[in-house]
Amino acid sequence: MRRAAAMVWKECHEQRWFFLAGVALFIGIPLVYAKMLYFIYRAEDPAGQLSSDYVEMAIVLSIGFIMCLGGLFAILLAVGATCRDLSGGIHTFWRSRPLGAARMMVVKYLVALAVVLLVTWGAIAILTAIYTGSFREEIPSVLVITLFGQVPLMILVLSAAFLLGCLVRQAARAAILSLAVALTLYFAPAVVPVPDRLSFFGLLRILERESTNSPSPAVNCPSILHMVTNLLPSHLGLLIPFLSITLGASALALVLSCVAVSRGWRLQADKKLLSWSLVGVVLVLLAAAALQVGSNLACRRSFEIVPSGSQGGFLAAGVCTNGKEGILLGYPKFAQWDRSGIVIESCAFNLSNSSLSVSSGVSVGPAICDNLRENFLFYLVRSPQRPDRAYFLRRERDDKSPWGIVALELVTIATEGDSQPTIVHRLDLFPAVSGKPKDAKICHCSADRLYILAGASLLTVSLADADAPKLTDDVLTSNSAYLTSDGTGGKDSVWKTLKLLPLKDVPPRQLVEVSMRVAAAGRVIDMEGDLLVEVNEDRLVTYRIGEIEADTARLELIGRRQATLLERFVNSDPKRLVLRNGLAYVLNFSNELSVYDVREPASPRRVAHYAAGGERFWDMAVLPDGSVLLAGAKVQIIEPVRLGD
Amino acid sequence: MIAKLIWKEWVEQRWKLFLGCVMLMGFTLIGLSARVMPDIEIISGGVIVYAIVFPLFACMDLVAAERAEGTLPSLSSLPLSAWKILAVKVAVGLAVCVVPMVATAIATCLLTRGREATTGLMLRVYGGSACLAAVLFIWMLAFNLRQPTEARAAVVGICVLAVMVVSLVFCASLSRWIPEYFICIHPVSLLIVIEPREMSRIKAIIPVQAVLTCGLFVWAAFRFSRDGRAA
Repeated sequence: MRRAAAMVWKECHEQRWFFLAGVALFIGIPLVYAKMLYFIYRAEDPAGQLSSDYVEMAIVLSIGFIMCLGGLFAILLAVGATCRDLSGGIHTFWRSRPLGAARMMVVKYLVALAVVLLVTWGAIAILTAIYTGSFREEIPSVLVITLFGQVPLMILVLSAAFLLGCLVRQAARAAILSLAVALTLYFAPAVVPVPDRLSFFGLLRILERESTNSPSPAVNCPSILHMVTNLLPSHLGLLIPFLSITLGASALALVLSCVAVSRGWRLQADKKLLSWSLVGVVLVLLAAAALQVGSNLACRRSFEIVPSGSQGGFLAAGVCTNGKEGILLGYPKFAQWDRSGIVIESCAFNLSNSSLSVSSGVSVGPAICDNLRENFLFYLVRSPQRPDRAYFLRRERDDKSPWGIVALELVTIATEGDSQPTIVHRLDLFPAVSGKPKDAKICHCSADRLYILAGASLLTVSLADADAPKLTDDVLTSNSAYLTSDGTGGKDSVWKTLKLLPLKDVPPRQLVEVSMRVAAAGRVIDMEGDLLVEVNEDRLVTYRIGEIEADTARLELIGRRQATLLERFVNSDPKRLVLRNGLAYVLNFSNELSVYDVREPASPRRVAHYAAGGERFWDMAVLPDGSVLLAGAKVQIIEPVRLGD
Repeated sequence: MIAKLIWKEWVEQRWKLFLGCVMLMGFTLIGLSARVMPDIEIISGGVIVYAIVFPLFACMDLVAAERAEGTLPSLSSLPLSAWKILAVKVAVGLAVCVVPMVATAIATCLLTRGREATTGLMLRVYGGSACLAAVLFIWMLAFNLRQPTEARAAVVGICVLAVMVVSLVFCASLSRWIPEYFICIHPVSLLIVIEPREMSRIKAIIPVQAVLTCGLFVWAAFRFSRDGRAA
C-alpha cells in the first residue's frame, strides 16, 4: 500500500505541470479572454446588460477549448506519462525495483485520467460555481454533453496515446502516431456515416434538434451538481451507447498497455511509418469525405450566357424551359442595384444547337431581386397549357417603404424560338391585395389557374385566355389553410391533417396542392401524384396524401432521410425542390445539386450529387430526358442520374 | 563516384519523394474530383502549403542525419570536394521538393483539361510554387547544415520559416514605405509569376532570387567543407 502511495505521489509530482497547464488552458485563458471582451463591450455600450455575462462567455469558451484542444492535451499527457519512465536507462532502473509493471502502468494511467477529469470537469464546475446569472437555454444541455460526451472521447484519446507510448517509447514518435489516431477518432465518425449516437458531433446534433423542437427556458444559475442530476437522467439513454464504446475501448487500451510493458512489446516507429501513417489518415479521411459530398454527376455542357447584341454577360435568376427552348429572367452583369431592386430582362434561349443561343433581352421592369439569396423560384412559371407563354410576378419596392411591396403585377411573356421575347400583357394585382404585404409569390400554376400568395391574401388568376390572364373573385386569407399534427407525436407525428382552402370548382388534388403550398409557406416542398416531399437543411421527409374530405386532407409521414454530419456541414439550406419520376432534385444555397431516389418513399436515399465548385446558380429545371439545367452566372446541363432497378 | 553518391542519396530519400507525390497528388486529385471548391483554389491551396512545408521535411535529415549516425566523416573522406557532395545532396533534396509538383501538375492538367481554370494559369501556379519550394529549401538547408540532430535541424528550419512569415507580414503592412527591391528578396515574391501582367516585376525578382540562392549555396558549401575538414 505504501509502495502504491509512493508511486501515486511520484506521478502526481511529475504530472503537476500538465495539471497547471490544463487549469490555465481550460479555466484561466477563457476567463481572462472573456473578461477582456467584457471590458470592450462595456466600453462600447456602457448601458448594456452585461452584468456577470462574461462568466457565461468564459464557460462557452472553455467548452470550445475542451472540444478543440482536449485531444491534444490528452496526447501530451499520456505520452509524457509513459515515455518518461519507459525510455532508455530509466526503464532498466524501474525493472530492477520490486514493482509490478502492470501496477506501475495502472497508477500512471489513473493519475493521467485524474488530471484530465480535474481540468475538464473541474473547469466547468468552477466556472458554473462563480456564475450568478441565468444560462441561455441550450447551455446546460451542451455542458452535460461535453462532460459526458467530449470528456469520454478525451479519455479514449488518452488511452490510445498511452498504449502507443508504451509500444513506441519515444515521445515525439508516439505523439505523432497518437495524433494520427486522434484525428481518426475525432473525424472518422463525421465523414463515415455512423449513427448519431455513436459520435460526439452526432450527439450535439441530436441535442440541437431536440432543443429546436422543444426549447427549454433559461436556467437560473444552478450548480454543476444540480444541473447534472437534473439533466443527466434525460440524456442518459442518448449517452449510453457512446459511453459504452469509449469507456470500453479505453479499458481495453489500458489492459493492452499493461501487457505491452510486462511482455516488452515494442513498435519500431521510424520516420517512414510516422509520415505514411499521418498522411494516410489525412488522405483516407479526405477521400471518405469526398465520396460523401463530392460530385458523381458530370457537367455535360456549360455555356456563358451572352444575349445577342450584348457585349457583357447575363446573370439568370430564373429559368423555365421545355427542354429545347425556354426563358431566362435576370439582369446584365455589373448592373446597378439599389434598395428597390433592379431592372429585370427576359431572354429566350434555344438549346437544340450545340451552343446556347440567347436572344437579346426585353425589359420587364424594375423588380425586387436581393443579390445572391434571392431568386425567381416562386416568381416565374411556364403555362402548362401554352408552353410558349410564361408568367412573371413582378414585385416592386421603393426607398420609402423598403419592407413592403408598392407594386405587384403579373407579366405575360411570349416566346417564339430564340427570337426576342415580347411582353403581351400586364395584370395589375396590387389593388386586390389587402394592406401592404412584405412579399408575394406564385403558389401553384395549373392548366387554367394561377394562385398567388401576397401577404395574407391568396389571389386566383384565370388563365383561360393565356395571353390575357384575369383576376377571379376568389380572394382568400391564407391562414385558412394550415397543417396540424395528429396524436401525441408532436412535429414527428405519423399523421398530419391539412385544412383545405375553401376554393370553388377546384379538383381535389389541385386543392390539396394549393392548400399545402399555402400552409407550408416558407418550406421547400413538391408533389408528384399522391407523394409529397419536403426538404430542409437537416432532412428529407416523404408524405403520402391519404383521404381527402370536404375541408381536410390527411397526410401520412412514410419516410425520412437524415442528412449526414458532413452533408450538413457542406450544404446549406435548400432553395429549390423538383420532384420528377420518383427522383427529388434539390438545389441549395451553396449551389450543390443533390438527387434523392424516392421511388421507395419509405426509405429515400441520396443517389447523386453535383458540387458546382465556384459557379453560382439560382434556379434549375429538370429536362424531359432527366438531365438538369442549372441557370445562374452560366447555364450548365448536368447529365441524368442513372439508376439500377 | 558522383553517380554512386547520387544513387546513395536517391535510395535514402526516394521514400520522401513518393510520400510527396502521394500527399500532393492525393489531396489535389481528391479535391478536383469532389469539386466542392473551385479548381484553382484546390490547386493553389494544396501546392502552396506543400511548397512551404515540404522543404522543411526534405532538408531536415540531409546532413543532420549523417552527422547523428556518424557517417559524415566517411562521406567527407571520399575523393570528392565537399561542395560536390553538398551539390548532390541539394540536387536530390530539390528533386524531392519539385518532382511531386511536376507529377501533380501533369495529372491536374490531364484531369481538368481547362474545365475551369486555363492550363496556363495552373502551370504558372505550379511553376511559382516550385520556385518557392526550391528557394525555401536552400534557405533552410543553409541554416540547419551544422545541426547535430534531425530534431534540431527541424527546429532551425521552423525558425527560418517563422522569420519568413513575420517578414512577409511586415512587408505587407509596410509595403508603402519599403523599397521594391527589398520585397524582391523575399522568397514568397516568386509567387508573382502566377500573375502574368506583372512581367516587369518578374524580371526583377527572378535574377535577385537566383543570385541570393547561389550565394546561400556558396555559403553553405563553405561551411560544409570546413565541417568536413574538422570531421
